[in-house]
Amino acid sequence: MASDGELQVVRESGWLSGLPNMLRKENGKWWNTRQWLVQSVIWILLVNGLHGMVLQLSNQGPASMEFLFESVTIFYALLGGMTPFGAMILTQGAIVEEKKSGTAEWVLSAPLSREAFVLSKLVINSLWIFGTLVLLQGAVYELVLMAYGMEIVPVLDLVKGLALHGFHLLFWITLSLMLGTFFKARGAVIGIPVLLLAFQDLIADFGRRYLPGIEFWLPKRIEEIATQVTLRGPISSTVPLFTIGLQIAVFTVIAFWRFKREEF
Amino acid sequence: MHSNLAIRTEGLSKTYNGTTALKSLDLKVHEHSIFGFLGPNGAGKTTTIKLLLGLIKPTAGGGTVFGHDITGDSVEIRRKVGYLAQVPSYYMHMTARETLRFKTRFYYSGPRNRIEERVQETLEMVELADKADRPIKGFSGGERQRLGIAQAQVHHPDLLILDEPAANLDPMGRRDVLKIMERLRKHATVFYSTHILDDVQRVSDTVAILNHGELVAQASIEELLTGSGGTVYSITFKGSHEEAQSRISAHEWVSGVTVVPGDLRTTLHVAVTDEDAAEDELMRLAVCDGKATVTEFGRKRYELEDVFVEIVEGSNNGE
Repeated sequence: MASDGELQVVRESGWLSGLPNMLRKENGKWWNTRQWLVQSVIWILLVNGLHGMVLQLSNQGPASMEFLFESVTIFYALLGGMTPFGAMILTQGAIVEEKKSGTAEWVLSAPLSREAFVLSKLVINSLWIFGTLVLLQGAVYELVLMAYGMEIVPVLDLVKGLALHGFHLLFWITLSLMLGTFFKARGAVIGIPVLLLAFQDLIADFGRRYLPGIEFWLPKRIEEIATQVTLRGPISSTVPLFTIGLQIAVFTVIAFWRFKREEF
Repeated sequence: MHSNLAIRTEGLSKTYNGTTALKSLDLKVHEHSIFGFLGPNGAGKTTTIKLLLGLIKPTAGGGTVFGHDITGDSVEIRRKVGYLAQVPSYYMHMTARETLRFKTRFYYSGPRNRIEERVQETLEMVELADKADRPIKGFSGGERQRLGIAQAQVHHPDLLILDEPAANLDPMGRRDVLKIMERLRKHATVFYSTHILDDVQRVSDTVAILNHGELVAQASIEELLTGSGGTVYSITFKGSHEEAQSRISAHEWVSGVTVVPGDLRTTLHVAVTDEDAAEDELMRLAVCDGKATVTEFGRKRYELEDVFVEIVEGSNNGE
């Protein structure tokens, strides 16, 4: 190759090949297109907007401690009920769309490892989703409480709960990315997680009768733990932290394995 | 390791669900050559290119690019290769400049201004500098193709693999692409697939022809053009040619005569086995009766298209 003076040849090797560049590109997709701003506004309106409406319509005295507990429960119910859809929507096209459009073939003709391709999608989307759909919502939540003259939730307790909620979203992110490595159309990639999300309660009921313990494998249990951690309440079981963590790890490993075998 | 070979494949094969796309391909591409890879649609050209880049895996056989194994060292190969896909795809939210910057950073790090210089010089080379900061989604087919060539060679690769580089271009665009390819030959090997045989004849020094996944010919352009059916002379008559045709056909050094009728003129293609005898006697045999006027006489120059059609049809009939 021709010598290039001050330019240095990139020498990343193995699975790291091309990772920094792909991370920068994925980040640019959020930052340069202002997707971060659009998502922030959407989720502030959906989560904190609805929470604010509930506060507005409530008949209870806003300063009561009981009401703060109720507010936290409502906030996590809104987060847990809606942001998984956001995580799915934001990641469902990350791999499928690149396979369909031919851009995956294009970038993989450069010195980019397949692991780096998937990892860049996972890391950057997770960070921005955590930033806009979780952390920002927590910050705005505290501001809303202040605006209503209520005592705010202790910051550390809220951060712990939000971290758990982020962990919950990671389940949906890795599931969507994994499905993206298998399918060539968005339908299945979004459809399967949506069905799972919608029928969690049904699956839990079924499990109680026929498959005891299955409810510990459902991501909604993380939301209950997040609420309890924020309220410093008793946690019924920590088992879901391990079962969901295991599923996240399995989804990630399968995504790497499957994408490595993809032919373009 | 084959120091003078950019590409070498041995028994390279690819099957999709029982359908053979590529059958035991043995290919040798020398460094600093412009190698034309020809074949009808579905012949296996794109499959071969994708195998070389590690985008798909071979069912059998293997190959090397600059000595690196195509299945085990794919990332190393891609450091040295620039690739233009048949239908180039880019991130539509990026501009041409951002696209080239992104592509360059897979290969180089260093001061931002040096990367920008490289990007700018590449944009100028493909005459996209004035459109560099517009989103790609507004680009025409020709502009996208030029951007494709730019991104394929922005890192000054040792091997350029171009899949139908001139397919979407007008004649001027095609001419520019050929110019770029000729310029790049000094520093790189160019391996490209195409349907445009005129272009191949103009710039390539070696050609391979693929049909139904099988290599049916590989030779230099000269060998391919001269080695097709021996020496043939072309004689064009104004007026009656029948008697001259009979006289010519009667000689044992004439292996065949083909008549090509025209509006006012008729052309005979005379295949000969003895060039000396033909040069001494053929012109005299054509004009001696005075009934016809010979308006053109000379050795027939084969066009690559003739050779291509002959080879592909021959291979189809041989199935």
